[in-house]
Amino acid sequence: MSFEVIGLDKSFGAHAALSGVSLRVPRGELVALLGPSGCGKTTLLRVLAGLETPDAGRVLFEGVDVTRTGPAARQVGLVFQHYALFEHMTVFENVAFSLRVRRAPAAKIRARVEELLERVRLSGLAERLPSQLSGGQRQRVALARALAAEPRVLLLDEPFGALDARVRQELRAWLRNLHDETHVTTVLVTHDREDAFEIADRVAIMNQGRLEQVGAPADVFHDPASAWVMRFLGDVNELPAPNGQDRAGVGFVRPHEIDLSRSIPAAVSYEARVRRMHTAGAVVRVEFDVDALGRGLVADLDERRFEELSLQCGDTVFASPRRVRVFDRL
Amino acid sequence: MGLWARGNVETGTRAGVRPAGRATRRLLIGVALGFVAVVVVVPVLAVFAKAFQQGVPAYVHAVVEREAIAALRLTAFTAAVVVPTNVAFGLAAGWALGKFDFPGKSLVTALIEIPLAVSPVISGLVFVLCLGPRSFLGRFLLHHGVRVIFAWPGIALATAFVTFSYVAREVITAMEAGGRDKEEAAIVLGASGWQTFSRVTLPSIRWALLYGVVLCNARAMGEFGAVSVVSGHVRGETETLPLHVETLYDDYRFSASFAVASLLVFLAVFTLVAKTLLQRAREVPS
Amino acid sequence: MGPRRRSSLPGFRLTLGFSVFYLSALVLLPLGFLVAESASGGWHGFWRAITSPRAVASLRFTLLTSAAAAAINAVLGFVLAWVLARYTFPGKRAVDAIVDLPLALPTAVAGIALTSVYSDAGWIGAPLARFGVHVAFAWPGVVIALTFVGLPFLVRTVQPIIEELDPAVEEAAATLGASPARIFVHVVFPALLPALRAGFAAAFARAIGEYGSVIFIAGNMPNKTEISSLLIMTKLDQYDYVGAASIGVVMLTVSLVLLVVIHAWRTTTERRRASA
Repeated sequence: MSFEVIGLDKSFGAHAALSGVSLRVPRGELVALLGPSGCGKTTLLRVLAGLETPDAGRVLFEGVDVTRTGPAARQVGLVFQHYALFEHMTVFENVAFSLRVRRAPAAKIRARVEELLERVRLSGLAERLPSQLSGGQRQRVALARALAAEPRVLLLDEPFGALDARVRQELRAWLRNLHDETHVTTVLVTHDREDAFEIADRVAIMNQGRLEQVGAPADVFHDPASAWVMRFLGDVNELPAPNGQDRAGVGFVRPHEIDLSRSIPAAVSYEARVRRMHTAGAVVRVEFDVDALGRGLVADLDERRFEELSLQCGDTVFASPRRVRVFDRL
Repeated sequence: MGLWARGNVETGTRAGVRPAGRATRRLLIGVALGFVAVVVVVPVLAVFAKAFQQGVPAYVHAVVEREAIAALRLTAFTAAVVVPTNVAFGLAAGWALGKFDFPGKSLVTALIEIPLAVSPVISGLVFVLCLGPRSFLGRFLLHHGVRVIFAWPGIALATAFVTFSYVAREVITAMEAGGRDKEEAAIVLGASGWQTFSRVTLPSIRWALLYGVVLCNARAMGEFGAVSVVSGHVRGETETLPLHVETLYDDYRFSASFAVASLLVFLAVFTLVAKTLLQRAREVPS
Repeated sequence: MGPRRRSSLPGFRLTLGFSVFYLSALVLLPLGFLVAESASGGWHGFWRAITSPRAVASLRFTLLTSAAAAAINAVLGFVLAWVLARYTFPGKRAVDAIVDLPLALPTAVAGIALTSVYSDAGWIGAPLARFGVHVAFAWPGVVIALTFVGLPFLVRTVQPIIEELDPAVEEAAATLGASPARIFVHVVFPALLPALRAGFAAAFARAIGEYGSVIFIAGNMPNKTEISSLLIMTKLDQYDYVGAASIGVVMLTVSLVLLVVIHAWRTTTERRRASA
């Protein structure tokens, strides 16, 4: 089911959690709400769920205004950050909850719950209590519970937040697969760029209650709409705006977009002296000082290039940025 | 913090910290045990000793005679009326104060504590003033044949007053500690307010609720001062068990008085056991 | 987590409305009648009631005996709390449970039990009587009864604080050369003082309103060994409603002031616990 929010405002006391947020999400899309803590993404999620009523603006589900509709009538699924499982109920009862409160027949409940537990790979654990499960298992129960009532939209609030790195990666991939199977419109709230980039169709980046940019992960990464977005999505080097450009602007370059060479290249370059190098996983990070700019910059080289150059600390190199984006000085 | 505090019985000695030598420790333990014995244990033992002083038949007679049975019935009836109404209040207050924030919340929370601070005699006095023969409310009721003071409704009201806070305090604390996430999850899953409350909230606070009920019941059955003021002391009619104990004592029927008192001691022991078990149950869940 | 929001969960108005109604009808309204009755004789009537020699004597007696009992609890009860928090010994669990007995036991039962034990023919009263010490039907008996009722208040306030003391602090003092006695006086006891103070106040507050456990063991002689609660009862029997209400208002005021003070002291103690 597609949905749209138009011009949402929401304040808590003096704090404006949402300002003029508008977003349209087509059916079946998995969109990530990405941003730092306090940017309003969880508030937006709660407005979508019906747990908050916006001060201004509208929420439309398939074109129908549901702004004033309560959560139960909206038919959404919500997975809380800490899962909010019902501790005194078994896994089965947790997942069955939405069907039980609608007084579905017992046979239908049993069939649906077993199907869902199968899908989230927890079939043997139906009679366990939440306290007997691991973090990753609890998360999957929360997901199965939310899916049980066949929601029109699935809302996930930092679903991987409480898990360790390896479990996080496994669940991310698994969640994407699940989405590909079910095609439920899904909104994922996260502060982790990797979460968003790995599984989302589109990313909506938020900052201080506003939407900064919406687009496919590759698009927002390569064509950020503002300096803030660029900084938020990764490491940056700041340079003065290239010649001929607006003097008041700042040039931003990513570490992997800087080429280093021993001889003066054809493109615009800066003379630099290598200060420090260290391995950062798949790349080698080289820190160097540019006297002409009076500052230090950072470049990421892949291993092959690094070996070709065989750099030492103190070596002189020439750094040429492949691509510079200019934004106004903040 | 509750007086029925969640103390940790298992602590024992702290490893590595021995500020006192063995002799000092023995002395302190001795003093402590002596204190408890002299102030608490010996008097309780005396109840049983005196109760059976004239033999078992006399004990049984004291416990089953007509007025004792009437007192027992009134006590049980009062508790059966007072505990559920205070539970209803406790659950409502728990929901309103434990799951929401609003201006004036700390005032309401503080007001709920007041009956605990009021002396029992005053707790009874206020109802005599409010519904007794001198107030217009009391006269109005009497005019319509409803007797409140010096009859069981007055006893129930005074008892409800003194036990007002017990259930509410435990439930409010427990509901607040439980947070809102689970209830919100239930709402989003399609549950109505009542379904959320009965299927999600209530089970999550059941031990705290029972704990409060046990305390409330103990006080409701054992209250003396407040009931003494409002009851009129009519034997066989407006006497609860504690009042009956006093009546027997004033009549110099000492061993009978202690015999009936021993029933209340059994109640107290049961309360302590239930309280300890419930405290443990509360500390277990994640 | 952000500020709590009202909108998402249902039933707020219903439950708050019912709670406030119940609170008002059962607690606030009757208390209002108390204040109104005490004022119904005008300021003159009120003042006369509370300054009569008998009323003053009863208040003084009540306050003094309550303070004495709270003081005994502050010392011996402290030892009990310490022993329960720090040491193991056979029967410790039973003792720990028994501390709560005064809370569970009806006061009338406590009253007759204490009287029988401490009367001149009683188990403890008889040996004492041989030394000329008469406990029952005199003020010492009242103090013992009030110690009984206040015991759990002191112990349960102080015990958790002792349990939560950080052993590292004491160990540090020991490595710096302090003797056990010194450690206790200069390191441990000051840390427990706020809780002890709050416990004293709680035991005191409990004691001033006590009725059932005291009236059997006190002599109940007007102007001598009469507690204020009994005086209120007596005035009621004499249909002196204004008098009873006036003394009641005074006692209620003292109780409420203590409630506020204890609450403030407890909050400070808990805040220190939380930040420790």
